Amino acid sequence: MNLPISYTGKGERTNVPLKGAWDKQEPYIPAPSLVDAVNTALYLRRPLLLEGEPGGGKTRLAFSVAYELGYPLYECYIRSTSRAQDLLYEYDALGRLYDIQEAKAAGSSGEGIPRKNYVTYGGLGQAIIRSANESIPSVVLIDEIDKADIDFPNDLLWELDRLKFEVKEVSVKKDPSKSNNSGEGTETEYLKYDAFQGKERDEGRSPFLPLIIVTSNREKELPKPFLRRCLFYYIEFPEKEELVNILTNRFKASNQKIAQQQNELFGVAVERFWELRSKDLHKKPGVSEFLDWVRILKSNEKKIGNYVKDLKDGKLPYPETLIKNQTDYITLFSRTNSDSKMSSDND
Amino acid sequence: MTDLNDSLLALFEELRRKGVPLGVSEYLDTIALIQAGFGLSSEDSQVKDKDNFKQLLQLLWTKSQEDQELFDELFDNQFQQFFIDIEERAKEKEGDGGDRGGKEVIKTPSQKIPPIGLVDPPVTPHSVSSEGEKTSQGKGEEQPVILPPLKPPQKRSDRTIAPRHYQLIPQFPMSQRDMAGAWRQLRRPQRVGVPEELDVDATIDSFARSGFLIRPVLRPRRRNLSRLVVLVDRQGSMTPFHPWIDTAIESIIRGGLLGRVSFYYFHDCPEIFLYRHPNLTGTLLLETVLAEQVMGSSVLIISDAGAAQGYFDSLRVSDTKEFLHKLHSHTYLYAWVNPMPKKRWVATTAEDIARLVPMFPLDREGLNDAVNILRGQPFPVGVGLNEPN
Repeated sequence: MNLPISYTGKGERTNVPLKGAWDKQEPYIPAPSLVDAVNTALYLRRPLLLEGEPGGGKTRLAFSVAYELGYPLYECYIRSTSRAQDLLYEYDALGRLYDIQEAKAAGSSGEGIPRKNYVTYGGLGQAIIRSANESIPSVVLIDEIDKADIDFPNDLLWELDRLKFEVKEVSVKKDPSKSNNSGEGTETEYLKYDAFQGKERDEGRSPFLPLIIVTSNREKELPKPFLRRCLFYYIEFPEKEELVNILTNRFKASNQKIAQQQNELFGVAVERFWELRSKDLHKKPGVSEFLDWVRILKSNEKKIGNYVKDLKDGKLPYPETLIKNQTDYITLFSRTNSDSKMSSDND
Repeated sequence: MTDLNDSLLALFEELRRKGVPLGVSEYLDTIALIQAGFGLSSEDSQVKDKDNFKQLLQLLWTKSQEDQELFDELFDNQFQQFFIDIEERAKEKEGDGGDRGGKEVIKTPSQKIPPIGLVDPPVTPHSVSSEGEKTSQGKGEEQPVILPPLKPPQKRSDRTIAPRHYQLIPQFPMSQRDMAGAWRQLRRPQRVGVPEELDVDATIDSFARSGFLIRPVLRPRRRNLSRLVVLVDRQGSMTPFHPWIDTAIESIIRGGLLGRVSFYYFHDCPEIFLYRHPNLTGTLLLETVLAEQVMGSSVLIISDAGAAQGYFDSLRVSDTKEFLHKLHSHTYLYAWVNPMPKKRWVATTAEDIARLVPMFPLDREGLNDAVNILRGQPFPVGVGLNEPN
């Protein structure tokens, strides 16, 4: 298939970066099926819903895709109090009231600042605006959607589907700088943004639409209508060989000797990590914890040899990066109390 | 193309029937994608083709890991024959040295691949039956008309037949997703906590009264204040329902109340103790739980109420009545969900208990009704502790 834009997952720029593109290269190795999934999502421009273990690289994918395609990236991190509206825009009514008050006190006619200036756009809002005004596509990351209130995904359905929104606080028909509320008709036109520019889904707008990547830890069952619109991909935990690949890709060695040392460390570390994950732990360490752990191990070049030996002896240096739970500490270390590092690392 | 369409549609309908949220637009998107060359285009080996195709459908037509397991089974069932046939045809064509792109094979109109999922040869039953009528008419009208078989006898050709698959994934009368949808209705939004949201109306009101802005009026954000205590009957007559009840419990956890749900277990009827764990260990005094957890929250009881035993037990009714009196003094938001179907409650303990407490079968309507009671709707007529029974 020949797609105008496609994601390869190789970490190389495939496109001329667009204005305001995400510029940080992301060392990320996706599974081939995930690459296909991203390309399908790009073709359809439907939201891609990612699930998987915590620390499995759900969030990082968005960065990698944005870099490779040369798209701008808009991030929306969801909190428990997030509302769907916040992703589009926020209107600072309070700031405006204060400004009017101040202007009055200063003796001027008031309302000198147009209403538009009080609008702050959220990630999804900005992406839709870019798409609507400049025909620049982007990657929108909606991270951990399951953290929000139950209604959140349902409130977002329309915007995700139609990719347009209105700013209800700002009307555009009348000149906002001279507006006084008297004598206006009932007809009001709000400030509007439409990524489709009034066209239908299959009328050729799709290369300019934002690609939306949604991640979820599955703390909540997402509502059916929301799921229906998404493409679903479950990120499997990487295999041993992939882990080694990820490591060599992430940590480039400065010279031959260090590279050799590192490779030895990587091999042993992956083995040890794999063994750890096969144990019956409450919270299995994820890829991001693993990367942190290896980063510490390799931080001191002189000590790499010692750590390799430690790992081979079945010791676990810096357990605090991997084990996040008291019970897991006990299951791991009470049986093998030979580990002397434990006492110093754990409080 | 007909075969592919049939198989796709069959798989799609099966997934929909199993509760995967899919609509016509998802189906059309899939067709558009296949036509655009996704999934079936590669001219590599057929094996890779199959994997790609499966991956594509999985991406579009599954919405959770459970769906994916289900999909695996159904896909193999539906498409194994299809791909075996493609492979064989490809081999035949290889002999001719003809064009054998994956797409080409599917599109060939003169194909002999039977509809996927059926082993019958592509003879329509209609033509067979008319033939049968002709022969019977020819022999005279008095003779009893021998009805032709609805399906022609199976004719196995020499081509490879895909092995049969058995689907061993448990299917419940109501999917976890649907149950979670019902729980989502259980909400009591109230404004509590730190005032952080601007109350525009109140601020403008104060502005209008005083002529100038003294200070903005803030109000707390809306939060879902529902609390749910679930009491689950375990073991004995409930044993066969355990997997289903576990799914129901999972759906409550995922339903969106987040941390404001607690589960306690009992056997037959909560008397003096409740248990913290499903295997009835970790004893807690019923009084303590009622006083600490139940005050003002919604209480859901999951039990067959003796319907599974199938007889009447007056002792159990009076025990349950006693428990309900205790419960009633702490909250009036309680409902009972019974995994046995309603018609099996008749003439058992459950029938009597259902007069004391709003009891619903564990199905879509029942669960919605139960959630409505938990939200504060009045009990149905004739149900309640103080009703004359």
